[in-house]
Amino acid sequence: MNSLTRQIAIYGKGGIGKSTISSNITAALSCLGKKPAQIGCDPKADSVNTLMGGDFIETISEITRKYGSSEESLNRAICRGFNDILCVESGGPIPGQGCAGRGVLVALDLIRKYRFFEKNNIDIAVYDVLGDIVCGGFAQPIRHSYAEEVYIVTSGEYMSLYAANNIASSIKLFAGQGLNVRLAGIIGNLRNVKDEEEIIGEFARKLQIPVIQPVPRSDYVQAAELQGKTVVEAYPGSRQAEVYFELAHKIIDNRRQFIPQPLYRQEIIDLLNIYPEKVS
Amino acid sequence: MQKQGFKWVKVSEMFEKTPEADFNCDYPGYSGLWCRLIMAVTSYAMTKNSVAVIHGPSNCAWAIRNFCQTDYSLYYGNPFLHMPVTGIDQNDVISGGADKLVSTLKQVDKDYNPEHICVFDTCSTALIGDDIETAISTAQKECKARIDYIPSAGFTAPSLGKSIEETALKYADIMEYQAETTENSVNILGQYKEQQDSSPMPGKKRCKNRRGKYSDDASELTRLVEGIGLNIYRILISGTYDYIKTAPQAKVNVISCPTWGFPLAKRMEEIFGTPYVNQSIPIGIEPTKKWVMELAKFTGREIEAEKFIHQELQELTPMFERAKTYVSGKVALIECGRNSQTAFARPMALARALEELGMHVRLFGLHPLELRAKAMDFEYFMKEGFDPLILDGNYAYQQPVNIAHIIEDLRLKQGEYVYFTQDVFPAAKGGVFDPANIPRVETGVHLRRVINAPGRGVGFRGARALYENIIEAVMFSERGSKSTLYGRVHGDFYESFS
Repeated sequence: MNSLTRQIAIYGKGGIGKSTISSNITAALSCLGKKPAQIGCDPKADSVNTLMGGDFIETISEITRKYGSSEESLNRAICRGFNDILCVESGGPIPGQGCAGRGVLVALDLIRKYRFFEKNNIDIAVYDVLGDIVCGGFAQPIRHSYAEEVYIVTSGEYMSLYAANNIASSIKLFAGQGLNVRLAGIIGNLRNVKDEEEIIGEFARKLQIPVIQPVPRSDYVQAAELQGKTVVEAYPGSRQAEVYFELAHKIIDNRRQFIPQPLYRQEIIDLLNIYPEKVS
Repeated sequence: MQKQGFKWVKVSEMFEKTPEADFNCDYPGYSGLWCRLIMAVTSYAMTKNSVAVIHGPSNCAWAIRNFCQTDYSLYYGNPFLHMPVTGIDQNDVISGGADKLVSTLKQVDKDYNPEHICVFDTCSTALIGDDIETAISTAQKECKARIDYIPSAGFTAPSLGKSIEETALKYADIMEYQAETTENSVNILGQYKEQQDSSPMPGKKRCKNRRGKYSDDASELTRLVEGIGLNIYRILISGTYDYIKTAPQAKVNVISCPTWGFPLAKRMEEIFGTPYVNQSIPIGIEPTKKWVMELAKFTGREIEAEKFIHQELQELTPMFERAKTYVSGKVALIECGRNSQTAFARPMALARALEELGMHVRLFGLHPLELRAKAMDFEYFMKEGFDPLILDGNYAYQQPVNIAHIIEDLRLKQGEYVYFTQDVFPAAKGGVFDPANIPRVETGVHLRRVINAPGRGVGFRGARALYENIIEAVMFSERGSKSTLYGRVHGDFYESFS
């Protein structure tokens, strides 16, 4: 593996905004002079959509089904998006069939085997991974010396924190098994929950990891996605774009990594009870 | 043997102290002997005019085809079976292989034009949860042959005995409800008719125009049934799809092999209400009498049965008494297995028959987990109150126990024992000290399934064959010169003494 390529993985509950944040981070990194790549690790294959002008690209799974597993197939799957960012989707089966985890695993093996990062001089590779670590396949990006630096995206809602905690448990387990994977921090994707930043902050404190950046809710996100673009591309002068740039800077500068201390379920509930939601 | 941790215990004791086969068991590596797929497909080979479609990678099909071409399987007596494969690859594992299964089934129906197709899944397709039943119902709309499914992923079965049990049950699902039953008709369950053919060979001068010296099990059980005025309806598991599916038309089921027979009989009783006679594997005089009498009681033919048994015993008793003079008071060393295919029911039935001859029986060569896996056979013998001694210990996988070690362990002297061997595959015999002065009776299950090989099995004629073999083995061990192989196999050697 190319030691010059920094590989980070973005995990979090399904629908929490991982792809939006990943794409904006990648777009910001490219504007900051880096050469990033984004690898969507989700059978839905919608990770790089906003980097590709709203287009859904052909996935590694689809291509290898047609042409077999070769370097040529991998090259067919690599697309150039906004600011020349290299975009790849692992793809996978249609819902309810086959093994999506296996699809991710095979795609990443192909990327490694044909030295995708080295041959394209990639500085930072961002893996955007589906929801929870539901099986071994989705843990693949943080196994076998792929990404060793994980960021968890969460809101202040219970189920989002619950999923984040599960991911932290997996990372602790893998670290205990001798893998180099570590948690680098939490990215708060705010949903306008009451006391949300405090909740996320307290949760991170208990996990013994930092909050890297809270990302506020913004109408620019929806507006940019409707144009098939990231906020960084569509509204580069906006406050929301500034947040993504700030996040990209922090990731570039961040060298701290942690083994988290996951919570019991009751501890998450107790934490949320400190900040009771008003029900009218 | 004691230094290695082996000890002689009652069968019930070995069963009770052995844990169920799982990953926490005390016997790592013994949780499975054969892949369930092999067991399921080779069992299905008894179904004629059929095709087994293996839904998995081509290597799974290759493994079974290879198995079917080895001595191992040839001795097992499997007929040829078409077994095309869907050829699942990496892409299919990711995207699901159900579509490939549908197209394969349609193609097989068109190319082979079989009466019946059975789908067998493999580890890869089971792990990804391919919806095989929906694929079958989709394909069925365009196929003439009926399509069934036997779950057979290797990882889903811990042991050989359980695999057999689960596969046997599936045959009841293939059967169809019959509105009327046929009077005096009997099914035999747990028997391979197609493989056991001792019918005369017209025009052949060898072996006195017979395929072997002794009648096979299927023929002998048929003779017992017909001897009390009943008719055989079906012998399962074998035959075409039509033959199998109409089995519930019989009045009653009787059982030959308990491993296969009991699960199928119980399921047929549940689904179709077909009763079964609770006796099995009738080797020896008393078990055969019980088997016949229970069937007679069920069908109201006690008088015919008593007459039949009386006639049979008149013929058999002199040979029984003669065998007894050779072995009464001696130790019967009964081998349950000398390779990965162990047997329990038949060695136990043999032990029961040898006790009638006044022998002290000792079983060995059965791994405790394989005994545990054959719970149904175990229950049958315990219900019968038969609980002999068996050598308990952690047997080395696929390594036969050296008979010399057993003799030494029991401090037996020449002339105090008879060795009853298991299978006779050439490879399985390698490395075993087998001197001529050890009286050795071949009892291999699989030997009897091969056409032209002598059968020594069930019923009164099976008992006669057993007694003849025992006398022959003891006499052979005591003589100075060697017999020919032909003489040993076809009986000329024995006949020179009679």
